[in-house]
Amino acid sequence: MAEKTTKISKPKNTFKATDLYKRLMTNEGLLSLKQHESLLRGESVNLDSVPDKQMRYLITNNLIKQGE
Amino acid sequence: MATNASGRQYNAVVGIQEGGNLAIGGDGDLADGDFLSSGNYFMRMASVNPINYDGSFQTATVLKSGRRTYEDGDYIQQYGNGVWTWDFDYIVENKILLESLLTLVTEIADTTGTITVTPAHANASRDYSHGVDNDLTGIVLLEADTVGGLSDHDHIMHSSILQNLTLSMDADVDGGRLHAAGQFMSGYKPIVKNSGITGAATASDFEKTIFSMGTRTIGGHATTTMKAFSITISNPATRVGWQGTSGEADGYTRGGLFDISGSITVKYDDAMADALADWQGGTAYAILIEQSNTSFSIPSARMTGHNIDMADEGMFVEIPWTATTGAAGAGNLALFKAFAG
Repeated sequence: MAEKTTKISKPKNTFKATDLYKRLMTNEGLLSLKQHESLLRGESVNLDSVPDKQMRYLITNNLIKQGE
Repeated sequence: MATNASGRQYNAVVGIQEGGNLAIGGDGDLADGDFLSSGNYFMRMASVNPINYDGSFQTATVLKSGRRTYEDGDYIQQYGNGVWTWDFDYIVENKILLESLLTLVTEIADTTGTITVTPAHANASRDYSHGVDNDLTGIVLLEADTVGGLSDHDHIMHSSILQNLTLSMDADVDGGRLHAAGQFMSGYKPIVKNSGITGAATASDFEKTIFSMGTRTIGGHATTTMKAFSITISNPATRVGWQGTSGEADGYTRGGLFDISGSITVKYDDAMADALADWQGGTAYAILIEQSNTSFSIPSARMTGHNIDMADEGMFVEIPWTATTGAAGAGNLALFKAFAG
């Protein structure tokens, strides 16, 4: 019998780039190019798909901040 | 009676070798035009080191059978198939000289604007074969003055590679002034003679101190109280084979690790105490040290230590680091902004 799974949707985390991101991040790293370009434009971007390692780096270094 | 001489009678003149006039391994018979863009500036230091000849010989002692004592012929000495080195520690005062040093160590031709060390640049190979014109080797001229009979004993080290360059500032050393220290290496015999040339007028137009660095961001902590920092750019070379009839190099290869690493010493406060956890967690730090027209940026510095100094005068922590190309391997190793005055 197939196991029943329930999908729980995680709250979406959106972030904006800080000035430091715009100065130091000259490529997308482990973000998608679309996410990177949106951040550079100052937009709020959902970063749920970004690997933990990259998120830890971006948050620790204040390269991104929580967006609305 | 011979005249006494002092080390004060020697000046160092350092610049990029103009390969169009003096290719790698050329005759070293200097003219002003052998320095790229007339960049034959004086590197004025507290003291001038001599060229080190220790590595320039291949030696062996072979005690032949039937004897228990050396005779002269047992000492085998081949001069010329080794390397010569010259070390310097320069309190930076001249902008163009600093730019020249950065070109020689990073292999980036134009260092007058933003200097970006990309992975593509650092991973690329360049041709340093004998006879090549690449404008990426240096000339070191140790020039004697005319007093004391040493004017025929200028020391010329041409076709040399700047293997490493350390840029550092320390609040407790020389008023926090920027130091540039490093080592030149050549696989060609230094020439000792009257070079017939001298340095160009050298302006004191770049006298940065640690105290002028208004932006100091490390690991997301802004305006950190910084006591010292240093950045070492290593781009080593190896002499290749030999050519001619005296064992001199057949050029070089630069195939070793292109490394940018250093350390930063900052006040140990609540924010910087967190660096211990970040080090343990393997989180890379972004480092930015800047004054409006000068900056040192390391986007992804992997911490290699967390050394707390519990001094009575105040607690500081030294954080050694190594620049990486980031998690995706495509980020810049370092960015240095134009070294304006």
